[in-house]
Amino acid sequence: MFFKAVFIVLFGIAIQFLFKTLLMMDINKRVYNHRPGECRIVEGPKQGSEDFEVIEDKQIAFISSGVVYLPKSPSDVMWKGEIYLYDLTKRTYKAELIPVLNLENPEEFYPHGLSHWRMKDGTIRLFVVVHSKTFQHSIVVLDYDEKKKQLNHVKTIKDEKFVRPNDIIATGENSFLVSNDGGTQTEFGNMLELISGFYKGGVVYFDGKVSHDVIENETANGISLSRDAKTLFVSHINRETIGIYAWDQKMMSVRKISEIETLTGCDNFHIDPENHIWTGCHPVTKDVVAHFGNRSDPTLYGPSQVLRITFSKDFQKAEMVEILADDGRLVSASTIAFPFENGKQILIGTVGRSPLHCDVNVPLNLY
Amino acid sequence: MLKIVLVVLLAFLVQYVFKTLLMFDVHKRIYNHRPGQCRKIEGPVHGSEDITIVDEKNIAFITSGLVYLNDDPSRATWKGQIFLYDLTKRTYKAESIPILNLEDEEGFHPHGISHWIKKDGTIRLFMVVHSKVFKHSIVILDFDETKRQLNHVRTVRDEKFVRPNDVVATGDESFLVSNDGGAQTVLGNAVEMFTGFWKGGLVYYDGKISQYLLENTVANGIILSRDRKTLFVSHINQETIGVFAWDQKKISIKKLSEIETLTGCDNFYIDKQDNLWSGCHPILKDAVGHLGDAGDQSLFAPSQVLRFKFSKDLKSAEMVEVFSDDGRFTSASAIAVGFDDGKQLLIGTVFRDLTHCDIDVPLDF
Repeated sequence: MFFKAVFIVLFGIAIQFLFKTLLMMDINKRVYNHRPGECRIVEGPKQGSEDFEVIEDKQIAFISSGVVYLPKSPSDVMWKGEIYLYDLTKRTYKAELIPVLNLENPEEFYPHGLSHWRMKDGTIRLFVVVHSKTFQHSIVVLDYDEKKKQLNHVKTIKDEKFVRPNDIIATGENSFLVSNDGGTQTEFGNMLELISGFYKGGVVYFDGKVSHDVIENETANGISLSRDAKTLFVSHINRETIGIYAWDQKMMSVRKISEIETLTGCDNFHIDPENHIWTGCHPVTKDVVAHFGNRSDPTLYGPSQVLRITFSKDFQKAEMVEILADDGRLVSASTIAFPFENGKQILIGTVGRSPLHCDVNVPLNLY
Repeated sequence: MLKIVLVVLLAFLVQYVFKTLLMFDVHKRIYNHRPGQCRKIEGPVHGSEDITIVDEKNIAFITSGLVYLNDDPSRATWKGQIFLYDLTKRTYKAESIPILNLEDEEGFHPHGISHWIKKDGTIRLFMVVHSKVFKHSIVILDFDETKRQLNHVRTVRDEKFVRPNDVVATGDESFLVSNDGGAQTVLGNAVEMFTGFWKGGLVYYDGKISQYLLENTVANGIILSRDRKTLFVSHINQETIGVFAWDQKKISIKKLSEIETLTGCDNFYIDKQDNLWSGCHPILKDAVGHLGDAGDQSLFAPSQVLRFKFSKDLKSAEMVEVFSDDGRFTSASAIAVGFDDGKQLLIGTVFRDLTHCDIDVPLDF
């Protein structure tokens, strides 16, 4: 009798686990295509445009390309890691590859998340999450030489707390926040982490010398700070939620405010001048997994979704407008999006493909 | 042996619960977007469930005041009406036009609508009508353009009009009717839905006699292609669109394909380029709540407008989502009409108002 009861309970747990896993894989979802206006592919980055960093007063965007993520084997990585520059004023639909000088190991430079800081002398300093072919991680700091249009290596930071870094936010000339999107280093391990729900990622603050855990045992993908640098937004991508935290830089601590359910896997964030969040999402997980597993196969692609999210004053609720949705044939596996020219244009980045530049002819303030 | 039977039953029960939850669209949500500026059209407030467009006159007829699975006749406090909307003027006002000589004015609650242009140029409307006690008929009205009124021609009742939803005119006196189920009560409909034993189908009425074309299925919106050779049927509860070759002389259909949409597409409109437009219910669990209590303004359901472009062989379709709303602006869309060469859009709802949008985005890509 006792064993029967135990069996029934375990059976029930197994069934609901299976059910939740299938829902997590988005088996009953699909993407219905729509575009906000005419869209064109931006030439240049072919192997990804995973993150952008916009320099508003210069009207330029840096694009990281060629991300390496949970590689099965270094020999699978047949592309180069690159940083591109895109002029937002000219509609050239061509991004320019800019040289990165004095890297310790140029062959092992595979950029992921990007952020920037303006130094006192006006220099643009880029902070880049970098992986190697063997999936070793570091944060690379580069200064942008505007005249020569090149990036000069400043330093490379390695830290045991950069477990599996994904995105980064510069908070000073030498300080930053880094997200770890998980703890395992292999595809199999990641799958276990994903299915079991025991996440080993989080958010780390590096103060220029020492790193501190700010959020632990969590999955954290894209991270972004509000314009006033008081609110931290964290993509809990595997749970399809966005976590909102009050950030106190002096105290190096966060306090959780809310968690917004999106029912889509939102990746990286951009905060616009009106504090809307723009994000590239993966609306159907099951379709994107195959694409991520074999990035170079052009017959595999994943759906894309761009959302503009507007929070209530107390950050307890959010309005979401879907700017673009695509089954992957135009733009595959979107990760980041940002508006420019007062929201009339948008640039969309992807994990492993070219970015997309669209006009926005639709109303965005619906309520 | 008994254990094996129990295990099999348990497995069946588990997969049944799973499929039912998926049918109700758990784990789905709507992300709002509009194709351009949208405005409400004054006039219909208790529904705009179906629209028929008379291209020759650039006008739209809109049915309003639907009664559906009405267990309690006293709850139907609204009137059934037909509205007229001029597609050329952007007045954002639809005009309720009088209907003369109806047999039962109080029992006139129109649902699906279609039109036919007679040889003398008269616009003849065919519509599915329910009474407050959910009796069904097909009402035929002629439009008097000079007096701007509809004159009753005849009312057709038939035992095969089990639970009619939509109608397609095929001649001066003939039409196709869809039955969206067989049950006449909310409870009966729930049983039909949960068991999957559909009792709806498709009926052809030749002016004298009706005959079954499809049986034991669910058929919601129906429409013919511009060349009148292809019939599109909304299998709304299965979230698919059935595509059939239609032969009017032989009064027969042949199934060509079934397009999976993963959303409950309701009524259809075929534009001049033979694109299919539909108003859909993307999240069934929210639609059920709203449609179950039509009078409660605090309940609403998501809306979705899709435009389908079929492949030449009609075996696949490209879908563009033209409009999407969580229900606060447009609740439970049922019909969508793209006009002005795809630059404008009308969205009708089951029990609420009518929306007119500009389309400022590309649809062909």
